[in-house]
Amino acid sequence: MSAGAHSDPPALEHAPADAAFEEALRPASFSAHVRETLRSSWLFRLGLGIVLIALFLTVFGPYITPHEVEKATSDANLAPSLSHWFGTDPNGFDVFSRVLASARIDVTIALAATLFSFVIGTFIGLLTSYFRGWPGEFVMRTTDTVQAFPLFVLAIIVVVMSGRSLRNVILVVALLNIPIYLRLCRSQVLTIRERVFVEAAKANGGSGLFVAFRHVLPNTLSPGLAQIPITVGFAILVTAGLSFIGAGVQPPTPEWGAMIAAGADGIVIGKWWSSVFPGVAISLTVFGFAVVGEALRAIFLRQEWK
Amino acid sequence: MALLAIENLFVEYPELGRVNCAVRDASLEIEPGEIIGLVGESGSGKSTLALAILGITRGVGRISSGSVVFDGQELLGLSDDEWRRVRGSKIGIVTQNPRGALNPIERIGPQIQNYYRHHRGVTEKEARAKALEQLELVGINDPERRLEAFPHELSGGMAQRVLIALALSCSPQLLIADEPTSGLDVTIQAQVLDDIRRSVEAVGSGLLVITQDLGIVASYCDRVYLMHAGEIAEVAPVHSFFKHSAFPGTIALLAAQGQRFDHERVRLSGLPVDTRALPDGCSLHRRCPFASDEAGCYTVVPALEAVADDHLVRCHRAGEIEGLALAASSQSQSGAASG
Amino acid sequence: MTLFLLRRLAFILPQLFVVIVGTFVLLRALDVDPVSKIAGSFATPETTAQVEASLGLDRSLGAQLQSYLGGLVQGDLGESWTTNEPVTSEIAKRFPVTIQLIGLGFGIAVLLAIPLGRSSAANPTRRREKITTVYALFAGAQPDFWWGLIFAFVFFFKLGWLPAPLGILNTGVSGPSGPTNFILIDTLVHGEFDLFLSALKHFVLPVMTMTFVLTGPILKIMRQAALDVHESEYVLYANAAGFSGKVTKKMITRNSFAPVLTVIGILFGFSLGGAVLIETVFSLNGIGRYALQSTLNVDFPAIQGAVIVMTAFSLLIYLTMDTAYALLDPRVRYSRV
Repeated sequence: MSAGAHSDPPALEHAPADAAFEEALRPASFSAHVRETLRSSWLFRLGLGIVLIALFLTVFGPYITPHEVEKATSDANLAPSLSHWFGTDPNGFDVFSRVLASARIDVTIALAATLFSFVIGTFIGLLTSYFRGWPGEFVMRTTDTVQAFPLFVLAIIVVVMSGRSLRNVILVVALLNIPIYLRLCRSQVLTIRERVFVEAAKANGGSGLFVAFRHVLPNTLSPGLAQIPITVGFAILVTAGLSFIGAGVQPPTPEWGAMIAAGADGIVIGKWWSSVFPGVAISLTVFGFAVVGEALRAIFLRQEWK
Repeated sequence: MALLAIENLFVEYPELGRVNCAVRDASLEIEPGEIIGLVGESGSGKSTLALAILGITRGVGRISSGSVVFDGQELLGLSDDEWRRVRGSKIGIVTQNPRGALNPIERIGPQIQNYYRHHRGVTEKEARAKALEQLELVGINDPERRLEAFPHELSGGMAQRVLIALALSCSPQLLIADEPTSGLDVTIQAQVLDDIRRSVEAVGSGLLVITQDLGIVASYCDRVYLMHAGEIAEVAPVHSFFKHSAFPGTIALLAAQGQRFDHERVRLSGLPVDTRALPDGCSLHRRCPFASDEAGCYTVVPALEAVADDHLVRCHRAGEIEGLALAASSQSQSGAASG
Repeated sequence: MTLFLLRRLAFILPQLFVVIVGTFVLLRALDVDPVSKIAGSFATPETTAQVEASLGLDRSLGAQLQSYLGGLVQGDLGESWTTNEPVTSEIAKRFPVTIQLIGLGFGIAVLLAIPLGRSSAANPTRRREKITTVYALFAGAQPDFWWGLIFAFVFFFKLGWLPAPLGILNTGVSGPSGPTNFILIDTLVHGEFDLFLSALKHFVLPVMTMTFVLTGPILKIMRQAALDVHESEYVLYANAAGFSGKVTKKMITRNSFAPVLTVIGILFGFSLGGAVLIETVFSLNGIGRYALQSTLNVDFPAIQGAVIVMTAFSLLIYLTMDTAYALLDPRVRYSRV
C-alpha cells in the first residue's frame, strides 16, 4: 500500500486462508524468484544440489574413483566394507567406483538426447505452427501416429538392430522425446500468435511484426525450457531401462541400469549391494532433475503472467 | 433501515512481492427498492467489491477489514451454513462472464432447477415450471428447447439472460448485476435491463448495477457510486452525478462519453492507475489535470467529503472543480480558435 | 455422438496401417541379417539361399508386404522364425499376462490417486499438498525395474510373505488351458481356487511395482485437473450462488475427471511398451518380453506381430478414453477430430 495512505486497516479476527495469502507473496523478476524459491523451499535446494552433484560427477566422476572401473579389482560379491564402500559385483568390479563413473555415461546420454529433442522439437513446432496451413496438421497427425507405437519396444528394436552404440542410444532417446517439445512449442505459438498479431495490427505494421517476434520467441520457449530437466530425468530412466534388459549400453562400460542387471540374480539370494546402490543413484538423480524441472515450471508460469 | 450497508471495506490480494489492496475503505448503501449504479474504469475494484458483498474473493484474496450489513445482519464472519442461506437466496448475483459462470457439462435446465430447488426446496416438476417461467421472463424464445442446451451452445447474450433468469428465480432481496449488458446488442440491452428492473420492482428488492455505460446509469439508476483505484471517489444522486460532478475522474468520464459538452476538454492523461503501484497522496494525481501541490494532491490522501446533500467527493479541490473544468474547456476552445 | 465415434475410428485405421507398414519396412531397412542367424555361421551359399527363400526375404519389399498384409487381413500374423509356431497363438498366450499386469496396476493407481488428488486440490496449502507433490515427483522418478527387485528382496527374500519372482505360478505348476488365457479368469472359471490365489499372489509384487511408479504421474495430473476446476469461473459462481460444499465438491470431481482420461490413456500406451522391464524382473511371460526375445532373435514376424498387437490395443485404449471424455464433457462432442 502507498506510503502516504491510511494506516493498516484493523484486521478481521477470522481472516481465512492466511497461509495461502502469505504464500502467494512472491517476488517479481526471474532471478529474484529463483532466489526466493531457493530460500523458501528445502525441496528445491535438495533437487538443485543433486543436479549439481550429478553434473560434477559427469565431468569429474571417472577421475575420482578409488578403484579401476572396467577391470576387476577384487573377488566377486564382497559385501560393503571399508575398502569397498559399496561392495563388489559378481564380476569383481568395485561398485562404488562404477556408480560414480556411470554418472558420466547416463547423464551425458540424457543431456545430449534432451538437447537434441528440444532443439528439433521446438524448431519443427515453431515452423509448422507459426504459418497456418496443412504442414501443422500433418506434423500433428504424424506425431499422433508415432505416439501410437509402443515406443519403448521401438527403442529396443532400433538399438539392438543398429548396434548398441552410445550414439544410437542417444538418437533413440532423443526421438522418443521430440513429440513433447513439438506439442509444447506448438500450443504456445498458437496462443501467442493470436495475441501478438492483434497487438501488432494495432501498432505500426512492420515494426509491430518485429516486436511480435521479439515477444513470441521467449514466451514460446519457456515451457519447453522448464520441461528440459524433466526430460533429462526421463532419458536417464529410459537409458537405464534399455541397458537393464541388454538393449542399451554394453558392458564393461559402467552404466547404472546395466549394473542393476548384473546384480539382479544376486538380490534374491541376499547379495543386495550390486543392484541397490546404482538404483539409488538413478532414483536420486532423476528425482533431483524432476524437482528442478517442476520448480522451473512454476517460476516460468508466474513470469508469464506479468 | 438500509437494505445493504457496506462500511470501510478493505479487500486485499497477494501479488508478486507485495499486497495489492484492491478495495480500500469502501462504503456503500442501498435502500430497499433503490437502483444503484457502480461505475469506474476497468481495474477500479467494482467486481471485487461486488463479490465481497457475498463474502467471496477470487483466488487467494481476503476481505481484511470492514463490515457488510445486509437486512440488519452482519455478513462478514458468517459461518458456511449461514452464508448458504444468504447467497443466491437473499442476494443474487450475475457475474461478468455468463458462459463461464455456468457448469459446462450440465444442461441449462437442470442448472436453473437445481439452483431453485436448493434454495426453495420444491418438487422437480415445480422447479421445471419455474425454470421455464424464468426463461420466458428474460425474453428467451422456445424455452423448452433451451432447457436442454449446454452452456457452450448458447450465444453470449443468451447465456447472459439465462444467468439473469437463474439469479432472479429466487426473488432475492438484492440483485447484483455485474456488466449485465456487455456483449449484448444495443436493442437487446434495453430489453434486458427493463426485464431486470421490472422483476426487481415487482419484489421490491434493491439492485446494484455495475457498468461502464453511463447511458444505462442515466436511464435506470437512482444513485451513483464512482470507484477509482479501489476507492469510492464520488457518490451522488443520478442527477447531481451528471450535472454537478465534482470528481475530476467523473468529469473526464462524462466528457469522454459525450455527456457533458461544457466540459468536453477535461481529460485524464496516461493509463489507468494500478492498485499495485499506488502513488502517495491522491491516487489520481498523476493523471489529473487539476492536481496541485498546495491542495495537497501529491502528498495527502483525500477523504470522502460532502459537497452537497447526499453528494460526497474524494478530492482536495472538490469545491473548485466546476470552475476549473469550465476554465479548462474554454481555454482550449479559445486556444483552438486562435491557433 | 456416433458421428464422433465413426470419425475417430476412421482415423485409427490409417494410423494402424502406417504402423504395420512402417514396422515392416523398418525391420528390413535396418542393418540386420536374420538369414545368417538362422542358417548359422557355417552355412553354404545354397543353404543360405534356401533359408532366405523360406523366410521370404528373397522377394521384393513390395511383394513381401503384400503377402503379409494378405495374411493379416485373415488374422494370420505369420509364423515365428524361432519356433515356427503361429505368431498369433504365441501372442494370444502372452498378451493377457501383460494386460492383467498393467490393468491391475493402473486400476489400483487410479483408485488411489483420485481421492488424493482431489483432496490436495481442495486444500491447496496444507501440509498434505506438499507431501502429495513430493510423493508424486519421487514416485515418477523411480526406475520401476529396480523397485521390482527391491520389493522382491524385501517381501520374498527377507520376509517370505510373497512367492519368488519366477513367473505367474510356482515352478512346475501349470495353469488351466482355459477359455480366455487370462489366468486370473480361467482359474476361476475352472473352479481352481488355490491356483487362482497362487496366481494372484504371484501378481502382487509386479502389480505393486507398477502401481507405485504410476501413482506419481497420475496423482500429479489429477491434482492439476482438480486445481484448474477449483479456480474456474463456474465454481466461483456456484459458491456465490450459495451451493453447499458437498454440491460443489461433486461438481468439481465430475468436471476434473475428463481431462485426466486422455493422459491416462497415453500413460497406458507407454506402460504397454515399458512392461517388458517388470516382466523381465519377475519372469512373467508377457508380450513385452516376447518382443524383446524376438528382437534378440531377429525374428521378424514375431516382432511385427507384437508391435501390431500392442499398437492396435493402444489405439483402442485411446479411442475408449476419448469417447469417455466426450461422454463426460459435451463441449468435445461436436468439434472436429
